[in-house]
Parts: sequence; C-alpha cells; structure tokens
Amino acid sequence: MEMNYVEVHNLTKSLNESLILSALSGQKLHGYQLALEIEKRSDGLFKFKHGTLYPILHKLEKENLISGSWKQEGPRRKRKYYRITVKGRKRLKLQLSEWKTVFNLFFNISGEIIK
Amino acid sequence: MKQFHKILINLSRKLDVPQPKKSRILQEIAADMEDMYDYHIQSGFSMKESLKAVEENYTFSDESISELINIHEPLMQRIFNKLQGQIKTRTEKISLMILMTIIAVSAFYAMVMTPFFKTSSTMIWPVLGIGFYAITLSCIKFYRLFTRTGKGYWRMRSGLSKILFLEGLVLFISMWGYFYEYLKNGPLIPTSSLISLVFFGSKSMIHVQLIQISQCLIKSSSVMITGLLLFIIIAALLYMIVWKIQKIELAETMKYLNQ
Repeated sequence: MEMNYVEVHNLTKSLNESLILSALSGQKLHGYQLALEIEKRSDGLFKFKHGTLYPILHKLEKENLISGSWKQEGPRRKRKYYRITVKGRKRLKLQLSEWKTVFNLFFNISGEIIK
Repeated sequence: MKQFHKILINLSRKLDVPQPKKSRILQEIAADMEDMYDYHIQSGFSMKESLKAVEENYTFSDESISELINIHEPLMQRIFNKLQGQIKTRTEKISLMILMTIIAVSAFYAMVMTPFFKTSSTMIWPVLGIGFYAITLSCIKFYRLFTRTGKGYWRMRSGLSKILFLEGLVLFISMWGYFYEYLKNGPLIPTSSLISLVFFGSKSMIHVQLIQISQCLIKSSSVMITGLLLFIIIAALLYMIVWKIQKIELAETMKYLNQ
C-alpha cells in the first residue's frame, strides 16, 4: 500500500504498536515478558514503562490486532497471555512497510548532512 | 502480592472502570508486577531494591489511566456521553424531553387504539401499568450495573425483590383477569347451544351467544397474553441483572483475595 503522508505526532505511538506486534509475532507473551523481550531484542534501547504498556496492549486487543487469554499458573497465579491475530499480522506488515518508507525518506533528507 | 498492595490500591482508586473489567486489569498488572519482582530478586537485587524497581516501573501517569478508562468504557456509557456531549444548552434538553414525551404518548395512544386493546378486558390496564413500571425499574438497574464503577456496589442487590414481586403481581393479575372474564361471561353460555347451532340459522339466539363466547375468549386471552409477554420480558431482564451481579461479586472477591 502506498503511504501518502506521515503524521509526525503519531510516530511514537505507531512505533510502540509495531514493537509490540513484532514481539508477539512469534510467540505468546504476557505483559512483563513482552516488555523484557522488546528490551532484550533492542539491546536495551526500547524500554517500556509499564504504565504506558497496558493502554497500548488493551487498545490493540480491542481492535482485534492481538488476543489475550488467561492461563492459570499454580494455585493462585493467573496470567494474561497475548498473541497476534491474523488482522494484527496484516497491520504489522503494513506498518513495517510504512516504517521502511519513513526511514528511507528520513535518510534521503538527512543523508546530505551526514556526508 | 502483599508488597504491591499500596500501588494496586492507588491504581484501583483512580481506575474508574466498571467491574469485572477493573478486577481483570488489576489482576493482570499484579501478576506482571510479581514477575518483575521475582526477576529482580533472581538477578541479585535485594528485596527493597526489587520493590523500588517495581514501584518505579509501575507508576501510571494520569494520561495512561485516562487512556485505560477510555478503552474500557462500556458501550452504553459511551452512547450516553455522546448524547450528552451533543445536547448542551437547557433549551435543547427541554426540547428533547418534550419530543420524547410526545413520542411516548403517541406510541401509547397508538397501542391503546389497536383492536387488541379495544376489545380486551379492563384488567389489562393494571397488568400493563405494573408491567411497565417493573420494566422501567429493571432498565434503571440494568443501566446502573453496566455503567457504574466502584461506587455503590454494596447496594447491587437492592430492589431486586421489588421487581420480582411486581413480576409475580403481573402474572397473578393477568391470570385473575383471565378467570374473571371467563366466570363473568361463562354462565351465559349453555353447553347445548354449540350443538344446536347446526340446526338453527345465523339469526338465532345461539348466534348471539356465540358472539358472547368469542368476546369472552378475546377478553380473557388478551389479558393472559399481555401478562405472559410482560412476565417473559421482566424475567429476561432479571436474568441479565442477576448474571451481571454474580460476575461483579466474583470479580470483587477475586480482587480482595489477590490483595
């Protein structure tokens, strides 16, 4: 899909969504595992404050991009695990191509300065 | 999870989301906090340091909390909020109330003028009155349960017995109306007249009696049908209310057990 323009103020939000969808694309994870996974994969660059993680997770779940299911672990522990849905995979694919375009354009602009 | 009690209580106070969603959110966060705490302990941090790390990470900004509230806002509440947002001035509110009253009165008048209600027994009016009153009470209860957050959960079951009593009353009056009409008109009809009809013409006394039979049946059955219909509607509403109450009670219990 061709991207016409980028809303700059939405970049961070969109990046967070892409990171979560990417982390969930191969496995089922619960909130804390998800934050750890993203941190590990990015060598500590992307650190999620958990206060910001849950609104994103719940929003993605509401939009059916991810689905959550409860799992009993031990007598008292109950965890909510998330996995990506088919709709989520499609959205991730679209977002990744958008990111590619954004970065290409960004380096086109800033490339001359770097040289 | 006792060590996170303070954080969870603070979050619970701010999180204006109806049950059982609220408990599920808190349960999810509490479980993740526990994981983070365990991870830090395993990594060699002291208990105090681990707890501090959890507290720092699980600080919810007002923006995050309002985002969570918006995401979990019940559909009914959202519709009402949108309506409230559109109706701002006092004139608009009064105009809307007048319009609603006109629609309600017209609908009621149209309903009353139908042959069904015109020919039915007078007993249908108390049945309709009590039935609609019970439905209104159920709808108010339903709205409160599906939109209300933490406040007033202890009064969830109040008013249920009143609705149940009104429902029983609807059924009793409709049954009484049914038998009343039947007993009032029944003795006028001799059983032999049904057989005699074959031999006499349509302009006989038996014909008049047959009209009385059919009128009696229409009068009594219309009360019964209306009563049963209202009974089913109120029962369905009561079922949904009780189901919701049980879900909320279970969520509240889980919340306290976890804390």
